[in-house]
Amino acid sequence: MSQFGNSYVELDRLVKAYPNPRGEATRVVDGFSTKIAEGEFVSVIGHSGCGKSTVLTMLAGLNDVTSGNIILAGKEVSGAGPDRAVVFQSPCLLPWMSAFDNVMLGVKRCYPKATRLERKQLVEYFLSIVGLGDAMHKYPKELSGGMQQRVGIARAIALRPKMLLLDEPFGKLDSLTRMDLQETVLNLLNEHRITTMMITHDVDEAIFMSDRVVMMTNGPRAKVGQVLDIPFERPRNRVDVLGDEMYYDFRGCLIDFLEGQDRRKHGEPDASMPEPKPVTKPETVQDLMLVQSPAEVSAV
Amino acid sequence: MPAHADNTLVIGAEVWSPVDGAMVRMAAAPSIGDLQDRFRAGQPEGLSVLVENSAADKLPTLLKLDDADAIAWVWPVIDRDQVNSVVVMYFSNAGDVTAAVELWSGRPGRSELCLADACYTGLGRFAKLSPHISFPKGSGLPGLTWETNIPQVLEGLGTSPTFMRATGAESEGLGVGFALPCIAGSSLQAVTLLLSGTASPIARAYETWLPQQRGDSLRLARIDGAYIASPALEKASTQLDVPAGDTWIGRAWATRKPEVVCDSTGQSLERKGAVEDGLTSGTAIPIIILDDVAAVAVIMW
Ligand SMILES: Nc1ncnc2c1ncn2[C@@H]1O[C@H](COP(=O)(O)OP(=O)(O)OP(=O)(O)O)[C@@H](O)[C@H]1O
Ligand SMILES: [Mg+2]
Repeated sequence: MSQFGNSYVELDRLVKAYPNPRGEATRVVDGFSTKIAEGEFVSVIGHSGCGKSTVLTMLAGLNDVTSGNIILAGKEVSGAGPDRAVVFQSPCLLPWMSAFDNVMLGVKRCYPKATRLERKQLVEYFLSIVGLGDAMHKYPKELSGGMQQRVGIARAIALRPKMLLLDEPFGKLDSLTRMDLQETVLNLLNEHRITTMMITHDVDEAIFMSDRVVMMTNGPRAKVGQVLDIPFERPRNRVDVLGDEMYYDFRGCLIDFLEGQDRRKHGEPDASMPEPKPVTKPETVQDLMLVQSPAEVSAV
Repeated sequence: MPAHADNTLVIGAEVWSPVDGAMVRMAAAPSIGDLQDRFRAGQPEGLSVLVENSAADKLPTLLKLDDADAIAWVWPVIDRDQVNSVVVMYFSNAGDVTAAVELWSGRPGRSELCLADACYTGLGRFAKLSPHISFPKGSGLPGLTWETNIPQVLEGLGTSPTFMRATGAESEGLGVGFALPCIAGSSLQAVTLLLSGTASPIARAYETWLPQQRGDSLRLARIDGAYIASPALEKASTQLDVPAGDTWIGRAWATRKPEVVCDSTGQSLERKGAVEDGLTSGTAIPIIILDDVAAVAVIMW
């Protein structure tokens, strides 16, 4: 739903270069740009190793940017900060603390002026909205993988971040738990509209949860290849989404993109495939700025 | 035997120019009298208003006319911040054809080219999906046109790694594409894609011409082209260049204004093979970036 006006988050020509074994800089990500509106949910899909986590960790401030800019709410991002909460595949809970205390750590940091009672209520609130109302005082080892991930999500949301960054948050979960958690996160975002970027390998998850899916090309030198808007209304319900006449078209679009990248990766030159011969830019010609048409025009 | 020009979707082309503050039709190829009147009727204030709006906004537009089974594509040529002409091309939209005319442009809050308007004929999923897709600079045919700033000819859409919507194109029979950037100074206003099958092509030939230094003279050289059912034209067109001002293509470059040519014999196309293949008409559109004509886009039918 890109009904939002201007961009809240702007990733502008992000580049990440790592030294290769010969000590030369290899651009893993090369010119990744996208804009995200406030409250929007954007997923990033792409083949394994293309650089999705690299983009997310640069946005999180956990990974230096080689070049390019990241703007969040009008300010240039540098370094990590509590305004961006990250959830990885495994939640990294402190094993000697209960679920309650793990979330309390974040709440103490974010609400230094709150009273003890207020903090306790906040922790209880965040744990109950992720469905752990009855398991607050359990320790990580007493919780299933899915429950641990719920604690991780509660801890991230409790930071009241400007942005939520999810790196394959449900990647390690069985499919039922996964669907359950997708709905938990969507419900939570319906209440607290937090601008979100999620990395996933699952096209159905991307369609169900996102306003927009950013498709990344294969690395090295990965960047945005194509973007798909998912216009389904919110709050979303899985049955309606799956039943929408566009669902399989969106799914096909994402799969076609990934398969196209695959063909390129494996250099499977289809006999009928003509050599690409795009005409290149004359050297005298400069880079064009893209005019943003004032009217939001709809297509037929 | 080469197919004849009557299976192409182009019906005609016009060039309009500003005269005393109003846009006036200066040239047409061929005369399309009745259709023109119906387009006029389709627009409350006439087609000239559409041309004038396009010139004022410096943006291309599309007009679909249901009762005429045709569309008009309106394209401003912008030279140093002034619209020097507007090209109008009419395409048939009737019968059993597979084609798309798309306008891609920027949108506030987005860094990609998004679909601003389109007209699809004989297309299913491709048409349904395209409004939801957008392309960053360098990606897909719109993004490649933005990156290179020059017209792009693309054949084999269904298998091309450049064409991101290849699967849709393949299953729905789109074969050939031509993409043109609309530029004002150093800003990209929009990109138009003309996509069609080869059985009922929009036009019979698409070409990109670029200025080249040859010896000590600057010439305009054809550097890419796609020819549909036009083998003689194709054979005669591989290595061509013309001095500035020579032929209608060289004139478009030298005058920085679009040209339309037409006669029933095909002689005015000034190209070997055109007569033999039955082509009669052409449009040459200069692509101007800042002070220079960066390229000339040629469409023949
Ligand atoms: N510290 C590093 N030094 C050198 N290369 C690295 C480093 N970190 C990541 N890479 C390389 O960068 C590329 C992108 O890695 P990244 O983890 O971002 O991929 P990904 O898209 O998240 O993959 P996956 O889907 O498997 O999680 C990979 O080829 C990886 O080997
Ligand atoms: Mg990763």
